[in-house]
Amino acid sequence: MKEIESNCSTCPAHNLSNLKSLGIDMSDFDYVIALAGNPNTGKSTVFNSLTGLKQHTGNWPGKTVSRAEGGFVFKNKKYKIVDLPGTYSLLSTSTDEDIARNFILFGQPDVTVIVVDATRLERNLNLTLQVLEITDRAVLCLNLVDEAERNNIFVDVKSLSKELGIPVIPCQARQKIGITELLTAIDEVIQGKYICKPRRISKYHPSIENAINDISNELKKEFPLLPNSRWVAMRILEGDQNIIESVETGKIGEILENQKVSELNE
Amino acid sequence: MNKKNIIKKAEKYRWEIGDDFHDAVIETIYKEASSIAENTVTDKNVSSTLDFKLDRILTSKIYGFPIMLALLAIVFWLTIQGANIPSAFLSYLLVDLLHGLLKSFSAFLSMPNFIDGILIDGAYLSAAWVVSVMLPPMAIFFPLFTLLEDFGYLPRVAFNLDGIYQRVGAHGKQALTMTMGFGCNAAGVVASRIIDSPRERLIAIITNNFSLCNGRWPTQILIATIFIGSVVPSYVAGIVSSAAVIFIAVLGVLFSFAVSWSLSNSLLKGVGSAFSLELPPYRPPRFWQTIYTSLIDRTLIVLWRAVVFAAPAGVVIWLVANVEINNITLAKYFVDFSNPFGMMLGLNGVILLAYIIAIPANEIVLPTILMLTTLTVNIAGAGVGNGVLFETDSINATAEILKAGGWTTLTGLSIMLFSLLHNPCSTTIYTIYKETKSMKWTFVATFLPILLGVIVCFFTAQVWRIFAG
Amino acid sequence: MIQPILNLIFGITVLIILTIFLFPKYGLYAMYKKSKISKQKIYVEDSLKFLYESEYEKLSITLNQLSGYLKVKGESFKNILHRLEEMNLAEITDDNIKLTKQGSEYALRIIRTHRIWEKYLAEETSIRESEWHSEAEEKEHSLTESEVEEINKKIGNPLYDPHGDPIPTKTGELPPFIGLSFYVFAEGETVRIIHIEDQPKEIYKKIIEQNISVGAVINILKIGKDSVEIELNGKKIRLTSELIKNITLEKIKTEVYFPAGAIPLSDLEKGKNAVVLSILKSCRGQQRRRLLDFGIVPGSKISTEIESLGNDPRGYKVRGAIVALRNNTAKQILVEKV
Repeated sequence: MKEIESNCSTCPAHNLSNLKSLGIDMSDFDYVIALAGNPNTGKSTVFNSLTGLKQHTGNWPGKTVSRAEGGFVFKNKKYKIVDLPGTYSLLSTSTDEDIARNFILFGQPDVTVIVVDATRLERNLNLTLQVLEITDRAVLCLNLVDEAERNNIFVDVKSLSKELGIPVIPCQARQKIGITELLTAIDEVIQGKYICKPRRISKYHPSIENAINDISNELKKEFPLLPNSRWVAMRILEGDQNIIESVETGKIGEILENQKVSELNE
Repeated sequence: MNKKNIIKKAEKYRWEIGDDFHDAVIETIYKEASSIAENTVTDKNVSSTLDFKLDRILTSKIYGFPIMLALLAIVFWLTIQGANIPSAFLSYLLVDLLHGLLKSFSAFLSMPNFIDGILIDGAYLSAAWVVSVMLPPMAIFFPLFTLLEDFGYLPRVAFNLDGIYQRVGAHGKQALTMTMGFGCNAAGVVASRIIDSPRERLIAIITNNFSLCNGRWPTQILIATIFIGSVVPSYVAGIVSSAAVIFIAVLGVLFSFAVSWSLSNSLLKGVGSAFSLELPPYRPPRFWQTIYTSLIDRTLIVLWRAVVFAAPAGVVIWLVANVEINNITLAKYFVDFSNPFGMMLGLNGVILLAYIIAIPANEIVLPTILMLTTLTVNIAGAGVGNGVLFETDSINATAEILKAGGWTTLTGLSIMLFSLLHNPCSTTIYTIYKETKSMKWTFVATFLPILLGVIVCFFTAQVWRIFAG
Repeated sequence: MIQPILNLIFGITVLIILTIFLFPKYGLYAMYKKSKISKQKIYVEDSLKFLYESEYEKLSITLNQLSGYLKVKGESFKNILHRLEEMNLAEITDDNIKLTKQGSEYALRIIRTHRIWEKYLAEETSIRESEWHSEAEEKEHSLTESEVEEINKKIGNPLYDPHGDPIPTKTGELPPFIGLSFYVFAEGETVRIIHIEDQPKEIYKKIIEQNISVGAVINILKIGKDSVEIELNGKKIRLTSELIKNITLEKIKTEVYFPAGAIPLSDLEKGKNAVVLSILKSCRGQQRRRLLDFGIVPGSKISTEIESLGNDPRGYKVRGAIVALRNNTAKQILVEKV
């Protein structure tokens, strides 16, 4: 039996049993990657360049309707990649947002790749910041940098990475530029060579900060291992019935306990 | 037990905070996003870029509409012109040559008549027919349309036209799904995904059938030439018959507006609506990749669905035309039975039967009508053989068969109307179910056009008869 | 010649009959469906609601008042009373009628159904505001408890209905309703002060010194991190966060007060820049969420970029992207030119 360590650096971090109930079969794969992003950011193009699949991608918001899956091999490890529906946000009750949110929260993918459009970074950061509230293993794929430059928009990759606390990889997915770098960054995060320190919002609007703080502290007392208690508190206050139920039944705590069990079994 | 208390406590906070939690969270996140963007993005003023200039022209109040119409006209022209030759070739290859070969092969094996009929004259022939008529125009239309889409032009069309669609409770993007519908309704229904507001999306799906699809254009043109063109002096026959076809297509557009309006004010009131339309940056389309993916994604998938439905329907068509009870075919029974009802609509029993058994594809309606007509009125020497789909070599021959079947100008007009206003083909119905995942809306989309068709044809026929004697 | 005319008459008759049968709301089919919910049940539930709301306002109700409210008299009214007693929902003493514990629970359930349905209509459908109440009046009698919970989950556990009234919880709890805090409201809204906490004394004194009293009507000008700026009788007042904690408000259903310099986004001329002040409350549900998703939040820079032929919709540039909005939506976004 291996030594039990909570931060085993090369063990997969994903939650096997939850992934199964989300309909993801991991029997042939080592790691699972989620692909999140706004609609029309070239998310599907990134997906295709990673997997070699030819899913049609159009210059239209909201192309991917169902969830697509694919696989690839990098450095002798088998990766499963799940293309989440393109959404602007993860806070609402729409089906798409539920799918994306639940996958990141309960599936605990080993890395979440957030694809953003460099030409409209500010708006894309909305989703990015929301993803970073849930997970702390993420890579930002800054897509369409060529188009941004053509429109005289320049993004300082280094300081963006510093601001967000995660790797930022500039890409031109259509020309397959930057994909290898993206794979390397994914690998580094999984192997623990890059420790993400995701930016979390420290203070919300004064009208709600107090409530979030209080509930978050209560949650920490009840589930000491919960890594994103502020976010869970926010969901409860928003009235997300799924989260409320998973707190009431204690399922939210199981996420972490399960993880320990699955590590033990390896 | 503390878990319950946390929720209780949260509930108390929620009472105090009220409804604005969501707004407050988003506002905070965007403030954060703003400050990050400020530190990392240098945006040198954009007003001189190509995108901006393009938008100036393409959404201009003066040039916007003409450019749009010109582009769409080019797409349609390329489709119609470009499809002729490959269509004729495929038809020669699959229907004339291969069908004949298969027939002689089965004769060589001395296959029983029954099996040979079902498989070769039924399933194979109707599937081959659908492929040869459907494939070429779709293989041209969809890639062209996809190129415009990838370039980023289509959202501008939606923007230009939204003013009109807004008035009938629909979304500007419906202009695009309707245009797709002129190619193929099933593809138009799939394209409705681009509309993200649930109510407007349903409207677009349900009304797509009012776009005269690729499978119905040839019927319209042929019937108009025979029955409308012939009642006017020959030097205007061409213009009048084309005008009649265009009138039907425009009528379809008007129906889609009227139905959109009534749906949004009745059945679909209970479905939410949120208009939004992003105008993404223009992108140079990747030519080959686009052609490849649109062929795979749209053309072949739609074609496959059509073939899957056409083959079994071919079997049914063959059986109906060839199985006899007391020496009378099933077709004859039904035609005699439904003829009085058909006559009330200005149609006849043959047409009604043809629309029922040729449900998989509008392309095979006319061959089915020809086959059934020769079968029921016994015209010597027409067609390949009894109970087999066929097409004549000339318009005159078709006209003779139809006239022998008792067709009048009213029949011609009525079938043009009914061809516009009847249920979608089974491929489209299946696609509607796939897209809406709702039996209710599939049912509405299927039967609403029939209901309209019956009403319109009925009143047209009565009024026509009163005035024409 | 005769046959087609007869046919025509026949056809028109069929259409008329179909209309009479299927006409929404007033057609025979709709009437039949409505009549299937027992009249008795409706009367019982309406009585419970009326009694509950009266008791909430601490009024006692006579039998006459109830009869007047239901517009039922004589034998049928007696039947209703009988039914209320039989089901142990209300007690009748002499001329007065009072809810039992069971009765108030039942009433709360009806109120919950009504308000959740109103919220659902407001958030998830295109039904007009004027129809919410009457639709909910009907639905409250026919929805089952599990259907209500299903809807409640779908719309994210709302606590207030679209009119701002609280929705009772599943267990029948309502908050001790003392009013709303400043932060519930948007800048530019007009509110009435309904409660000022008198403890601790020194804070209460500070509030009173500003001439702020219960019942005063104020405009909220600016909501900041540590203070709120209000307008009372034409005078601008700054309140620190420790003061506003002790003041609760209620919404006044009047027209929205426009802060000086605010214009609706639909009035922003082409090529001009502005900053978003607020999205009006009348913009709700999916449409509101979509605006927020696009980054149209207070403080966002926005400019009018392109106009379509009829000037509706128009394209606005916000957070680096061009987004087309229809004028009826843009009207609900207040901006200030810069």
